[in-house]
Amino acid sequence: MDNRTQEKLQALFIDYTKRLPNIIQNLDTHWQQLCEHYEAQSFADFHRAVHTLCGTSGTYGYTALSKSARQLEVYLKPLLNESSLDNDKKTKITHLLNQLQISIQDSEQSNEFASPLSVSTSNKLIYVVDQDEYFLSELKNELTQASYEMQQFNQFPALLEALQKIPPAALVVDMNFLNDETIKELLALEKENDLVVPLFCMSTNGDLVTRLQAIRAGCKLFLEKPIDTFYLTKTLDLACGFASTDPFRILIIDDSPSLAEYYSLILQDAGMLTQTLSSPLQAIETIIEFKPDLLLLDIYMPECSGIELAGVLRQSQKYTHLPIIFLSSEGDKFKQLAALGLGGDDFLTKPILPQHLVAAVRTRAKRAGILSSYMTRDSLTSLLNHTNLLHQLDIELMHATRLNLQLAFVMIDIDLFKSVNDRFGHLMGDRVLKKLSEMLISRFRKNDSVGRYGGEEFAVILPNTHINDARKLLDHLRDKFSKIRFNSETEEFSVSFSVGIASFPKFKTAHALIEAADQAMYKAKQNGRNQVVIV
Amino acid sequence: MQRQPLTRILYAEDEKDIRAIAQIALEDIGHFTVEYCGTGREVLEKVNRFHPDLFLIDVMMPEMDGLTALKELRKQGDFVNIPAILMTAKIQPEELEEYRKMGVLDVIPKPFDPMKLVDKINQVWTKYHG
Repeated sequence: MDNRTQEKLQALFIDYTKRLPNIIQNLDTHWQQLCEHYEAQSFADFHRAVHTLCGTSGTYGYTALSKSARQLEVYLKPLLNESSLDNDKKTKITHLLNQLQISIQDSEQSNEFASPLSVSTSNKLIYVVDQDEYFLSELKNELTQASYEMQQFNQFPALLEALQKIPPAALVVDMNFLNDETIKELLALEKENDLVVPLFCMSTNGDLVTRLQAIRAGCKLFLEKPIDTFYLTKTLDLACGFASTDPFRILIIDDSPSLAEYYSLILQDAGMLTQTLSSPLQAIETIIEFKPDLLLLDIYMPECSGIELAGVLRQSQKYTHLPIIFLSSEGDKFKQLAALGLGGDDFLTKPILPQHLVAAVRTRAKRAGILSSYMTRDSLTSLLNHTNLLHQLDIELMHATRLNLQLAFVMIDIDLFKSVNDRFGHLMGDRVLKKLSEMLISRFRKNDSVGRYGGEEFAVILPNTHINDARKLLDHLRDKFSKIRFNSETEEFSVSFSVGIASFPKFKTAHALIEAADQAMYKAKQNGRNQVVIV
Repeated sequence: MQRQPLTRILYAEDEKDIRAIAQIALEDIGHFTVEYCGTGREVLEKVNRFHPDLFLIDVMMPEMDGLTALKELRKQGDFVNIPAILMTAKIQPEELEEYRKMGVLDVIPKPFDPMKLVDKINQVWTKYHG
């Protein structure tokens, strides 16, 4: 097989591996919808999706995953003719779905194609264009430590070629390489290939002309040289979190279902996920369920006006950051101002041109996303911070109670972390924390919540998960983490962690869950650390 | 006897992830000329123009599944003698028996190893013409 074929294959595998968590996530969501409301056709679609996963994942080398999918498919098939599902069957299916998640991880180790390319499921490839050899080697060191893979270029055409083949997580370019022509080429290439790669520009020259040039190239952040490579690494971490291609989630509240549907179609065409609601009184429930990034709100509605609803939402701390755009045929500037005064972020007057709607929604949602990620996330690890993790736990518990689902709450504490700090310094300690966070982020599903609970303590919420499955998952991670070798200047060392897991409905409140998981975690410590204890 | 070379394959598969990887195997590794279909119906539409040496057909497809398409092809005089290989996860004994009765050359079980796909097809072809 020649190199070109090999490259094509690799690109396919990387692409599939990246999409795999989403595929499983969609199955999970589909199944939850079926649990809430059974429909024969929907169940048949679910079966078909599992069938497809079985064939595709196996062909892409995910043998264990394919086998688990087969098990699930075999179980589902005879149920295709039934008109409803009893609780035993639901539990069994949920369990088999959880197995899929565990299998992804088993497969990763045996997947001969994927393993040399991507250790985790997230893309950690960074392209850097610069001439300064010293800077490049220093940056490479720093990036490798943070488990990035850096590829350097000293010519623009080579970069463009690489961008087309394997898109990186981010692009770092010295301004010496950017002029009108190269910028044009870069933008054209991105547009043509539908690429969204965050661009970082560096220059020794911080004047306005240079900065403007960077902005024209679509630069996310401008860094003046000399650059602190550790800082750059951290910034990249944040940026790569933002660079997620998740579509924006938009909730449209309008008492006219047909108008709501119209806006919904426009936004969907622009690649966003939408939900429509014609009764504003159900807004809060829907917001909790759908987790929108932005609210599109009609002003005049019979039950409760959009302005009133915005007022209610703004009173709750949880929704302070949710952007609200009002929609109305109201041409009166004073009323518009009043609407903004009560917590709206923008005001669009009907009839609205589709491109205006899309632009207004996208800009607001993007900005809010960046802001909220600064506010709700821990600055070192970019995991959920303590407050927001607890908030999330409340939401998930409500959901689990309503749908009669299980939930596992996990506490993780790094063993003897103080001695890492004492022996190797706080920077090294930070690296250990970051390494663990990265692992947690890449290993859990999208609707699992991972947070930094305190100093060296982490917590994970696993909705719709049996405690035994949670134990298996965590034990696998524990084993994997304990085998990672960290390099300090003087020696190589490894670090372990202890885990406690408690589950709903055995423990019914957030408080009880946390306490139980915490106690289980201490028991793990007492039993000699580096282990998982469940209650 | 002059052995007929295998050059043109009509390949039907609705799942684009699988099609993408099979495409690399068939074109880059096997150097075949390939026409792609996403449904059984497309097979019937494209077969007249493409004149394949071989059908490579997925069984489960929307609109018209692979078996129905194959049965239709067998009714049309021009295509009775073009051999077919099925690619499918449905490989229960009774299913295999059904394929055999339809005169299918061989079955490639899914999931398959894309690196071995071309070898497998060539083997089946050689045996058929041997």
